[in-house]
Amino acid sequence: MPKSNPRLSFGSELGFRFYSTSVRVIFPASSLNDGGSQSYSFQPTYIRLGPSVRYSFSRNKSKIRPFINVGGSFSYAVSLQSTYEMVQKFGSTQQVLNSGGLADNESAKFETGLFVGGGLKIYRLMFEIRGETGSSLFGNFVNYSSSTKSCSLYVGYVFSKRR
Amino acid sequence: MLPDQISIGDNIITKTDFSRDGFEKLIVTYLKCRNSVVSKIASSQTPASNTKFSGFLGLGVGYLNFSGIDNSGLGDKLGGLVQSEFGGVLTIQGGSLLKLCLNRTPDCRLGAS
Repeated sequence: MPKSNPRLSFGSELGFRFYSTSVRVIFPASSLNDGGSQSYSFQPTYIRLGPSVRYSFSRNKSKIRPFINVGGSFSYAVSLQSTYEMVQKFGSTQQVLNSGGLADNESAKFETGLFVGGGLKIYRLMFEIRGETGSSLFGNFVNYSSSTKSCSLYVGYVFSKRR
Repeated sequence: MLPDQISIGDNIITKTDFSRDGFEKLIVTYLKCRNSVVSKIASSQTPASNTKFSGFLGLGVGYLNFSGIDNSGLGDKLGGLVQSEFGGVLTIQGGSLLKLCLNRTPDCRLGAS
């Protein structure tokens, strides 16, 4: 068996992810109406699998270990709570043309992404700052492509015993 | 955005595989692969300290970008995004050990039954 590299490790993450976001677009007046707006609000919940590779800059027995983390993210929606509303103005009156949610949007059920992070492991505690870019969070919702970018702070606790 | 292709084991998965079927196949392969690696380590003489389990909490901010949200030339639109997460991670130390396991684990092949 080849010698194992203690600075390199493979991680397999499993977690629940919750999003909350909204977008509102104002339309200018046109020959058809006096303007309007589209409002989207999403609060989906995903179950996420994330393979990752971690490199630590200090030896395994060190009490403080800086590390970098690179990986992927594959998510499946367990809840697609959302609202959508389109309003058009005709003079002083407003008309709601369309409203609903993402429940029937097949492509919104899947999300994929890539992340890179860095942090410190101090004894059993881990602190990590992670940047992530995701594609297709809400799929090609009403034919629009979408993507997400986020920066997150993670706090972790190692349950396994130190040897 | 995703790269054009991702390599897992001996397989290369392209963007076109990210349909529903492709996604499910990818997840099944990943889980089989992970379980096989874990069982390889469990059955080897590797010290148990090479595998660790951690729990984590995450909180983040970002933005959602819609491209071409309308047909009137308004362009891309951004929305604020709050992201929270909790879960666990199984960590296996040792790059050479991982490579050994992947090379000898048939379950790591895409679509292996």
